[in-house]
Amino acid sequence: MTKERLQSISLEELEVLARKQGYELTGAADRAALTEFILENFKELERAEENNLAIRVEQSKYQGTERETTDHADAFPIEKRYNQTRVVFMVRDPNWAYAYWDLDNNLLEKLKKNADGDRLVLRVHDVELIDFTGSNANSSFDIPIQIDDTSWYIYLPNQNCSYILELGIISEDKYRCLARSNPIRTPRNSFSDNFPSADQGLTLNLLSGFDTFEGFGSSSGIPQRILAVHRE
Amino acid sequence: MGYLSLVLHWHLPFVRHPEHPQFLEEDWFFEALSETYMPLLSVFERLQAEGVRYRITLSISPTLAEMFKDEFLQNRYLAYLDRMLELARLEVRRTTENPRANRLARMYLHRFQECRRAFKDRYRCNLLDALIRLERADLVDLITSTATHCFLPLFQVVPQVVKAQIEVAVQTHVGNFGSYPKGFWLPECGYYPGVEEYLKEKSLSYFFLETQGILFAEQRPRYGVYAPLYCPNMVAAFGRDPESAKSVWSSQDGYPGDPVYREFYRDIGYDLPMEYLKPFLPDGNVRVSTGIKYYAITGPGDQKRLYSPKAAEKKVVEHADHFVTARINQCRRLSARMDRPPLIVCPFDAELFGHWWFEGPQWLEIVLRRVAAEQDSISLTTPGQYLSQHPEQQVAQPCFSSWGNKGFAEVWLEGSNDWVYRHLHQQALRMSELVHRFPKEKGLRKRALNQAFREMLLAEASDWAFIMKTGTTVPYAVRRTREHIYNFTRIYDSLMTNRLQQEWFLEVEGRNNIFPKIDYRSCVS
Repeated sequence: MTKERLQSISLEELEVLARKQGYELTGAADRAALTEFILENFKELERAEENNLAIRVEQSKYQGTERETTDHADAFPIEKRYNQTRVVFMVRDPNWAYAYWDLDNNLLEKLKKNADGDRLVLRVHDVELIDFTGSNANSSFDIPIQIDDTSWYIYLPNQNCSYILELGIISEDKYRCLARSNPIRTPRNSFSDNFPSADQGLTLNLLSGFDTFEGFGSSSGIPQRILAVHRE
Repeated sequence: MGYLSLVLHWHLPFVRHPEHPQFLEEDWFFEALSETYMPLLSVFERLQAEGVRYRITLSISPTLAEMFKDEFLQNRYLAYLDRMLELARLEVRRTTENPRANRLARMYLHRFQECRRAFKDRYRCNLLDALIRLERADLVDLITSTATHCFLPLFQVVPQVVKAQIEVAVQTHVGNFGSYPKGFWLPECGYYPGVEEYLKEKSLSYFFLETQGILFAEQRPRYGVYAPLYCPNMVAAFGRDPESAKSVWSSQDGYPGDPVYREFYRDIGYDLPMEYLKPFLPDGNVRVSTGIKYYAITGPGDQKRLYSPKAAEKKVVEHADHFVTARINQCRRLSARMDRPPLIVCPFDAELFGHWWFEGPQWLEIVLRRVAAEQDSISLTTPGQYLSQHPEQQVAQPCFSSWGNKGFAEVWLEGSNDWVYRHLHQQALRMSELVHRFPKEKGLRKRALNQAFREMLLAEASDWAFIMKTGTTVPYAVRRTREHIYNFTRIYDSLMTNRLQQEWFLEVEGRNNIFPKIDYRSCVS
């Protein structure tokens, strides 16, 4: 999955990603080397981010075996797509959301035939504190997608902020919205600035484990096995 | 003076396979019965018999409650115990040369015998009655969780699912326990702002949150996690105390990781020759854990010492004392800064006790005894009792959170499991479509609609996404997800085209027979 996603982004973006993870570039960038480095780094991150305590205990409930499944996956065929033009947005953590979408068969055929000029995009709108009409977002950015893509993880710049996603098409520099998602709101990853009263709050919040709690301050890392390209 | 509120969440997914003569994943339930559920019940009953007063909250997931009363699984558990008894007898014989190992083999034999006796004679194969008795004695508060352990934050876009999961849970709870649940366990403490509206609709007055769900509330919590917050609609949110959680949960720094305790990962199922184990393994060729484990944690590395129950017992007392003393000190520290008694909320997965941490039930028993003896400095309470004594609390909207890695939703939404949501959301839309199209049905069509609803709920279990992520038995989790989506879709298509294949349908209805009183009309958008 990750490898495929890495293959789908430009060499320049690969370089940026690799550098962010501490890769020291000497001479011309080699796509294979960069990919390998990033993948290796992901594995490291996964190990470092070992499951937290509650999850480890829970894991022990589900005994695993070396057994191969006896049922072939084909025993329960399910649809891949649902022949509808739709996009759904799901919040995952303060910085990342997941989007999946679908195009109805007619549209899909048309796009496939007409692949030259048209570009599919996901348009992310910051709609904090506004009643979104389609053109009044606080800010927006586009993520180019391929016709065969069906889902993507999207990095969102602001915590505690509302977003709406559009699946759209750009032809001859003109944007047309095909489907609009449900709104989502990213959670905050810090204390609110709103105090119940001037003198209270912090000490007890500190006693509530601010310094020991493992969830704090760790969200800047790149989530596991996931890559999305953030463009503004 | 302060309060301690212990909450144990009992849950396993619905696993029941009459179509196979023996099925490995059913062992999750059987092991938990032997190692966790019955040992915990006997702790509670023993304390009750001795007149030790305690209060504890037990969240019993609807899938687990349904499995407790399922006769087919009850009989399979007895057959499982017979196999284990035979294996334990063989072990007693095999270890005669090694007196220390032999003592352990006898211990396991004795435990399996006790399990069989208690399950058949004391509980008459059904643990529900024992739980009801404890609640009637006012020692235990029983609460419920979503119908199939659905992780609600990932279903915001289909609120009919959130509603249905809560409604079926409450109905099932009332049917099984004869009492109305006052509170609710959000699976994995998965919370999103707004879910409390659905809780309020069902008169559920409180739920539990991960620490940061409280700390990052819209308004700073005045007392941290040491008092509940009311959501704006006045449903109360209780936050998990990280200090006590760490001492119990952590396998490294926590009590369960002590070198003298029993090692979870060394099981004869993996250590002994295949030839010897054959009759006791599924299909005769797949290694699984048997519950018979001879080693102590000892330390890092593979060199393990034999387990000594005596040494472990001594340590359990120490750890229980340490826990209670630490909580009393914590209360003192907190009281100095609060204008009301602090409340320390400790929620745990019940299966931590006994299954993962072998000595856990013993530890819990001593903790309950100690706290009962320390009533001047700390007392046990339940959220319901606390709220009736301290009804005035701060109002603030809690923050999206869970008790999974990093506190948000990434365990249940990542590369290995994200594919499920497209299908789960789609079937929810289709289920609502069925309700609108067939508002009043009778006979076979009604049964088909109810079965479609069951299949939808079963597919929504967070257990499958969890397993896909953590990688313990992935093919099974994938299979279960696909199977329920497939069954749902097939019923949906047949209802839409008015062509139901009866033989297939009856087989599915007989197998996935959870929630017999379900009403498909609960799934309205």
